[in-house]
Amino acid sequence: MKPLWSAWTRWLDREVDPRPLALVRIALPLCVLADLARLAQLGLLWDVFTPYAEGGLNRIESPHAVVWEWFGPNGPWVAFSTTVLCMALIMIGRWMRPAIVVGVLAYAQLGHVFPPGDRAIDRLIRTALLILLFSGADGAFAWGRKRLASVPAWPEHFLRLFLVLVYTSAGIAKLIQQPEWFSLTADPPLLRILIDPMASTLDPDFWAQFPVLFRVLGIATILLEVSSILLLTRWGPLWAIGGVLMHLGIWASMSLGMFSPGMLALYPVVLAPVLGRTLFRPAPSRRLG
Amino acid sequence: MKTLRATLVPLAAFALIWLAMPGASFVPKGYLSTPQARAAHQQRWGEPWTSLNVSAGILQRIREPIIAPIRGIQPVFRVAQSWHLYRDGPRPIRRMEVWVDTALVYRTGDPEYDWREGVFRNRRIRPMAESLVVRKKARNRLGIGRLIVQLATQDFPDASRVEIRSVWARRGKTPAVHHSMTATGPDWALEDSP
Repeated sequence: MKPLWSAWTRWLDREVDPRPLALVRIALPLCVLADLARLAQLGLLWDVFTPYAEGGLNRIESPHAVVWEWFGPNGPWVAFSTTVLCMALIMIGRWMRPAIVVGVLAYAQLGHVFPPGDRAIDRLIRTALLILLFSGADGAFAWGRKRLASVPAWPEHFLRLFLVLVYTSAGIAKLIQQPEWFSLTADPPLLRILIDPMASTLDPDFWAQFPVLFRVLGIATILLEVSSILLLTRWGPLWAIGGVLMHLGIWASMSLGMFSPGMLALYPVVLAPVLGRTLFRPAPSRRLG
Repeated sequence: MKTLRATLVPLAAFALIWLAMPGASFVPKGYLSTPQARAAHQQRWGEPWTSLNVSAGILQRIREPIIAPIRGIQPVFRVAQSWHLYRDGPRPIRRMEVWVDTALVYRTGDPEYDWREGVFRNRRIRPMAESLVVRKKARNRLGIGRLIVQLATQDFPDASRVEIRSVWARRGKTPAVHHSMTATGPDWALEDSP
């Protein structure tokens, strides 16, 4: 038992270049900030974060929206300002840990205030930020800090495990609920998803002429999702090329806001071995850190 | 510190896997828990499917009591999610239309009628527009309806009537109005179609 325990602690002691984790630390809050900025640009902040009784959009109340009790009608604005401030701090790498705790709590409150607009990607970003809380993600590209030579590797593995769970769940759910994903004759489900005008930007009349294309892409999507366990192996970067292509395809064909950029924000840890050999070589000067 | 980390990291990984176990949300709590249900499954599907499904049911009954207390913490961070993402798309082609008096100003996905498209396409508003189009009595229809009327009266100050239509069509067929809401000035109260 002792050799096993020693091997386990040695594995946990392994260290990696902090830059892939730092890129995730920068990209995730950037997505949140860009998303909230877009909401402000459209002039929708008031409509989204005001109760229905006072002229807002949402009638679905979450019992966990405690900001109303704590700060009254200003609650959502306190949550909004706190989220923006904390995301900015996480991004620049200052007071990262307290900023993640407070920022995730405030961001969660924004979700409770307006549940219809709080989607899977918001939950994914919050979960990923909570994983970063225990990482050395502020060991590089952090304002006023020198870059560390290395940080513990386990948060990188944890983020990869999280991605595996997300993709595998998505793949299995598709197969359980809709066997037509593997049918060679039925109407391809991917075609239905990608020509639904409410979520997609593709012209239904034009693209419906190519069912075979969507059948092949649909099968490729399922195979990619259920094979995501490869992310935990040395084949991870290779798998990630498929993942990147899938998310770029979704980004180009659907109007899902920050879904694709939010998912891609986690990819630096998947592509860490490739980044280590290419982008991060030769080692940058200290000024970068 | 090393021992603590070596204990806590696998515990956290176990909690993550246990909470987000792929496919678990499709297994009902009492799935194949009675001999009768197992026998019926065995007769229909045989092996190894029956053993696999019985195991999934047993695993779910072990899993549920363990995740119950962890689930209590999830709303604080609002991280609970099934991760099903997109499983299927709708068979009919459904769109939202906004008519101001007798003029069509917005139709989902139509570049010719793109009034305030950025608003209706925004990822936080789109789910509300979608449920308005799918369900006649969508719970949030009055909220988004009120926003549409407010924006329309702002952009078309001479308007006297705003209609929000849910238009459905089978692929390649002529679309028809499935349901609608109308607001008429000066009070602009929204009314559902009969």
